[in-house]
Amino acid sequence: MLLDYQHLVEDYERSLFHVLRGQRTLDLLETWVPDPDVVRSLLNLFEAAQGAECDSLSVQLSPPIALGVDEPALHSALADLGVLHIERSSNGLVVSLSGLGKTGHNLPSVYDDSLTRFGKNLAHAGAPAPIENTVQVTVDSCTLYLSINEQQVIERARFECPRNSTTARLLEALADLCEGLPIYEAADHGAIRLEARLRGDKPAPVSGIVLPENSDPMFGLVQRLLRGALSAFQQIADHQPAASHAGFIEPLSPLWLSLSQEEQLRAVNAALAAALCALGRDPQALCAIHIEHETRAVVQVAPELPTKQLPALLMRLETEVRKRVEPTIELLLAEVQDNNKVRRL
Amino acid sequence: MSASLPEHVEKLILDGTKIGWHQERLAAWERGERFAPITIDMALTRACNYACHFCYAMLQENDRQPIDKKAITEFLDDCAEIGVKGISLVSDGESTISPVFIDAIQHGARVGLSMAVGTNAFVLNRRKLEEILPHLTYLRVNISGGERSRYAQIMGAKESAFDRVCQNITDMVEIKKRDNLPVTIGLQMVLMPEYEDQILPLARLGQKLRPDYLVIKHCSDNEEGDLGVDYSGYDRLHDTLRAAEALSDDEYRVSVKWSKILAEGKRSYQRCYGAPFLLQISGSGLVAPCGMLFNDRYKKFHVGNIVETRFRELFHSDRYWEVMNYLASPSFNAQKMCGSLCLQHKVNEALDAHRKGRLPIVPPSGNPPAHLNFV
Ligand code: SF4
Repeated sequence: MLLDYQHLVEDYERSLFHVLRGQRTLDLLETWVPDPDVVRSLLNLFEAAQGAECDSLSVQLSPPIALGVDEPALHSALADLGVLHIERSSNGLVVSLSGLGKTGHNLPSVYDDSLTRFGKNLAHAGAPAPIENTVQVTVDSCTLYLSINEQQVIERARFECPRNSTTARLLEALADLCEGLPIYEAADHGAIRLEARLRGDKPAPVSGIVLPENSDPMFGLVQRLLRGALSAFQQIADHQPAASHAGFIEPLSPLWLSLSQEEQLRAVNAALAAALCALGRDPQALCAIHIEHETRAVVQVAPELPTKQLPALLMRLETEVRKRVEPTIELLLAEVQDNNKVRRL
Repeated sequence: MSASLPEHVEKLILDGTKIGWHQERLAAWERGERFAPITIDMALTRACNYACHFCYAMLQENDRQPIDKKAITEFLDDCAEIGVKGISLVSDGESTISPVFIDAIQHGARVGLSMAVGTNAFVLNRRKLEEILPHLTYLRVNISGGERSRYAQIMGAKESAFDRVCQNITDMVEIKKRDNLPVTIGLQMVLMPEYEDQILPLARLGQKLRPDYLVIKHCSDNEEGDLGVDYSGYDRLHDTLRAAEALSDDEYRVSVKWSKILAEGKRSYQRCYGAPFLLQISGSGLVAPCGMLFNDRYKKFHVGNIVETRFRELFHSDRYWEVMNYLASPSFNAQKMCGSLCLQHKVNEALDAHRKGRLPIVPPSGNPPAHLNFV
């Protein structure tokens, strides 16, 4: 939601004057009291929004008001409330805070558990010792450092931002995700990978298609950092742009590759049986009969299984097998052949 | 392209996407809202009276259910209600041989949907054409040979079928001209490198029959390469293809889908965002994100069947969005998991470049192109 600061203040002042009782602005800001100091006023405003269980909010400051704003002071006032983004343009300043509910412990979100886990050990916090091939990008007072090797793969990631904030936990998770990814993959898909990793099995944050920015504005910061890192890399490196188009294919784990086909089948079937049991179904209702192209498990289905439920069940089982056995396994049924043969000329 | 082509032909986008003209859907997508497909590509049956050598539908077998008049009428009503804009009867079967073909077109148009057809045109005699042409945005005839015997060989039909189809094309062009209908009449050649000898004869046949255009496109294959398309073989055809394009004149355009031919079957993207904008339905009634996932092998992507469940229910279901989300998530990789260049390819390319910030889709200016509702 984008609010116009000047209108808010004018409304507030008008209502102070004209409304004797029941004076209030937006529900969202019912505890807000403006302050002649814009930074303090914004702190009051975002705290009010947080108290009203609003998760994210943007406020537009007109150019004359924006001129008087001390940005570093604004950063230190607001950074602890959530993920802060400040954008200056000819229209003034837009101050956005997301993840407002997440700094307190009162508002669970689908990402909270994972963020809390990453927050326990900020192993990637702090600037690295200067080494070659490190790109550095700063957005909204957060800095990401990526050391990228000759194969364009991120070897090490570090970050700097106020500790004890949602942003620090988010960037810890990001740094952990980035290591081992090609820089192009990180820039192209890092934010959506992070969203998926932090959410795990929890329900989608939107009813339509999940994209980083519509899931939570904090992923906007991630996106900007990663894209910024890629452009910094492009400037320093003698890189081959073609590499960006090749597409990154997740490598298979050495453990999976070390298994014989039979062992792979056994591992997939054990995972299938466990997942079916957990769903209260017959563990024999579905079993893999062979593995194609290293990761495609072709499964056979018991005739008793209701066909209408099969598509959704297969998707669910695939997720479980990926978690338990190998992250890129696909579950497919055997191909149904057309009664006619493909003609060769 | 000739500079003097009539406006409706000039404004055709035959090798690209019109997604940029649908900003409201793009905005809903980016906000994470549910939005109706702009276009649904479907068939009224999986059956066909031909047996084309290049037919991808051979690879799309799934549980068949007959789409009867009640099912198609309710389906079209639901489409209109939820905001679908165009229905193309192409997909994985020859819709003209379904008993509900004419009713479907007339009903679709009546409820405000743009309707279009891709067909071998074998059964489209003059009477049927009179009934459907006023309700169509475009009618495209699949014809991959320009000579009687090669046509029969490539399309798995009798040689006499060639004469009948040519007559039907002549009739449709005549009716369109006579009544000054806004329908676009096109020919489409699905090109495998081994049909090289038919490129120029077909382009010349088009000159004679006078449709609005002839489009020449690559042939799709599944990820196993079951149809045996030799993508490297397209290279040697470039000169012939350019010679075919040079046969365009003031009222007839020959257009090669260069972008797909030059892509050699490869994709530049891994996420698939296009399916909810351009959905496909099998001639069995199966709703799946796209034709490449129709085969029962890909059951995990199947949403439901319009013969059993109203489309509006399927569209609003969490299952529909679970499937669409899977395709847009890191769990999915179109480079690894899909066959070559699907119907949604150009939309996917545009949406992916937009998401990556490489080529943002900005609201286009100027007059909208023709066939806007067929994205
Ligand atoms: S990219 Fe794959 S899943 Fe998406 S529409 Fe094309 S073939 Fe279907």
